[in-house]
Amino acid sequence: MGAQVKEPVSLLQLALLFGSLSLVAVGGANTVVPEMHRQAVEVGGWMSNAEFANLYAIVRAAPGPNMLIATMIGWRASGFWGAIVATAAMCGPSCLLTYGVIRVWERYRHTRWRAAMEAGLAPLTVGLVLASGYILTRAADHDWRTLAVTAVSAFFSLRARINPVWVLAGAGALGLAGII
Amino acid sequence: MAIVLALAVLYQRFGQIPAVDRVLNGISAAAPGLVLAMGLQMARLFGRVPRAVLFAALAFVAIGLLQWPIIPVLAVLVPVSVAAAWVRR
Repeated sequence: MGAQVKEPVSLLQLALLFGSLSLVAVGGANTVVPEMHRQAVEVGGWMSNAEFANLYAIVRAAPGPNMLIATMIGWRASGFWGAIVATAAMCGPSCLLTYGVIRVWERYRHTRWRAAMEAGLAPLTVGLVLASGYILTRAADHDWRTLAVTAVSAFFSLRARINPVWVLAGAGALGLAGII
Repeated sequence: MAIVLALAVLYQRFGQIPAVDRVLNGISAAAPGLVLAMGLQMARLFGRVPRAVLFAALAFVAIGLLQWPIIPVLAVLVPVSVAAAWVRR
C-alpha cells in the first residue's frame, strides 16, 4: 500500500483518461466513478479494491468537490505530477464545455429538443450514479457488517437529511471501536 | 486540492497503522451509501415513468454489473435515450 505503483503510469495516459471522462461526466463526478474504478483497479492494476474504496472515502470526508477523486487516483498512479495532470484534465475540458453549453442551452430554453435532451439524459445519470454506488459497495464491503453500514448510511442520508460528514464520522468511530 | 493531496500523503505514511486502517474501513463502508442515496433521490424525480426506469436500468446493468467501458456505452445509450424521450413526450 505504501509505495507508488512500480511502473508509474504515464502522464499522457492519465491526461487522456481523465480528459475524456470529464467530457462524459454529464451528471457530476459520481457518474464516472465506475470507469475510474475499471481503469485503476481492473485494467491498470494501479491499486487494490480496498485502496480505491479508501481513497474515495477520504475525498468524501474531506472538504471539496467529489471530482477530487481524480486527484487521488492520479497521485496513486504516478505521484505528485500524476495528481496535477489528473486534476487539470478532469477540470479543464468540462469547464470549457459547460461554458459553451450554457450559452447554447439558454438560447434554446423552450425548444422541444432541449426538453428531450434533458428527459433522455436524466435517467442515464441516475443509472450511472447507482452503478457508482454498487461498484463502491463491492470495493469496500467484505462482510455483512460493512454491508449493513452501507445500508444504514444510505438510509440516513435519504431519510434524516443530516450532513453526510456525520454519517461518515459515525462509521469511522464504529471502525475504530472494532465493531466493523 | 491541496487538502486532498496532503491527505493522500498522510494515507501513504500512516494508512497501515491498524487504528487508522479501521477508521478508514468504517468510512469506506459508509461512503457508498451516500452515493446510493443520491441515486435514489434523483430517481424520485422521474418516478415510475417506464421509459426513464428502462434507461436507468440499462445504464446500471451495463456500467455497474457488466462493467463495460463507459464511452461506447454512452455513445449508444445517449442518442437512443434522447430519441425515445423525443418520440414519447
